[in-house]
Amino acid sequence: MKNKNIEDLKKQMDELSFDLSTLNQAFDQNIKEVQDRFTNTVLQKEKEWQEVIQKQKEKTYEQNFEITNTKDSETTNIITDLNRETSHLIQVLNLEKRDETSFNNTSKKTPLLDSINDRIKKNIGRIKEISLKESIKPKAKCKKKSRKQQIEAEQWKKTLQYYKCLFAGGTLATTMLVTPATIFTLNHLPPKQPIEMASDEIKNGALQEYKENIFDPNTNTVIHSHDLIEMMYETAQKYEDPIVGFYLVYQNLDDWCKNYKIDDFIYKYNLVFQTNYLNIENFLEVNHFQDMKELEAYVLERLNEEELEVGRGL
Amino acid sequence: MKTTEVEIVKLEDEKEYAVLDSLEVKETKYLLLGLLEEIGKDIDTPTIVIRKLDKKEKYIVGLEDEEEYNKVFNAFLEKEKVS
Repeated sequence: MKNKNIEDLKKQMDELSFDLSTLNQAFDQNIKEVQDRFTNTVLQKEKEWQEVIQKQKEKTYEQNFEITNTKDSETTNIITDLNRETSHLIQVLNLEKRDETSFNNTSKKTPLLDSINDRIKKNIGRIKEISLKESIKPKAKCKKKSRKQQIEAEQWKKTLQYYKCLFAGGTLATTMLVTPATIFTLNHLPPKQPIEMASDEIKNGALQEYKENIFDPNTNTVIHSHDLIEMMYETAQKYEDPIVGFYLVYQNLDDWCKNYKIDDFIYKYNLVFQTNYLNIENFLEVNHFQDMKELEAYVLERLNEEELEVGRGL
Repeated sequence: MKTTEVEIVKLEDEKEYAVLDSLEVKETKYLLLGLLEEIGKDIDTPTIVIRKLDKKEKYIVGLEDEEEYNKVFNAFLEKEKVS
């Protein structure tokens, strides 16, 4: 009996052991499954997070890009505003400088013109006084005895140039009583305002005096005629844009007097308008025109604009 | 050294003047003169004299008045513009 009981117990133990083994196996299997599921889940989650992070990164990048672009645009606007403001300030400064500038306080930009203007303003009265005194001598009379003398060509050329400058400048200064007209701005849109002129009374008087004697090189006689400075005044009064005025007067030179030297035109123009252009090329360069065609196109455009404004009753 | 031949005249003050330029107005020849001793020198108030020749161009004579002076002065200026 006892033995049988022991055998039963052993049998039960074996069964239990089997069950335990099965349970262990099942447990191991479950654990593995759980581990796999956990691992998969973690991996999946990690992957998902990586995707999210990637998306977030991309989004951030796009946002940054937009921000950057926005900043660029804003910066451009600010720069444009600053440029506009600077340009305006330059114009204001030029206008103030122009107001301060007069015949007695000539704008100084080039040493040559500076020097000549200085001398003219300081000495023209005295030069004319001496010249007048020495010239008007109704009783003066001497036999014409002339001799020839060799003078270094370059020195003579400089001398004539200097006398010419004093002579022409002095006459202009004393007869025209030129007041500052304008200072060309360094862009294509000069200040939209009438150019200041000498009063009509002074101008007309000076012009009358100036027009009395115009030398005609073809006939060697003195004639009444239009003159360059009158043209400058008329054009400047008609057109507000000094570049337009400059071009129209310049264009008229060919038809009006082909013998005119362009240097003289520039010289007179600088005297009247207190500018400092060296020559036509310099005028084009300073005003940002590549050539005469570009200047012509600009002038035509401005003239059309003015016509439209007149048409609109502006 | 390259040189230029310049005409020199002597006026009644016994000073020599270089002929800077000349022109003819109504059959009268006028001379623009610069004091020779001042030529080539840096002088603030150079002496510029205008005189005219008599009809036979034998004598150098002074101008009559300021009106004549201004007329010739402007004529010289215009000549400078077109020369």
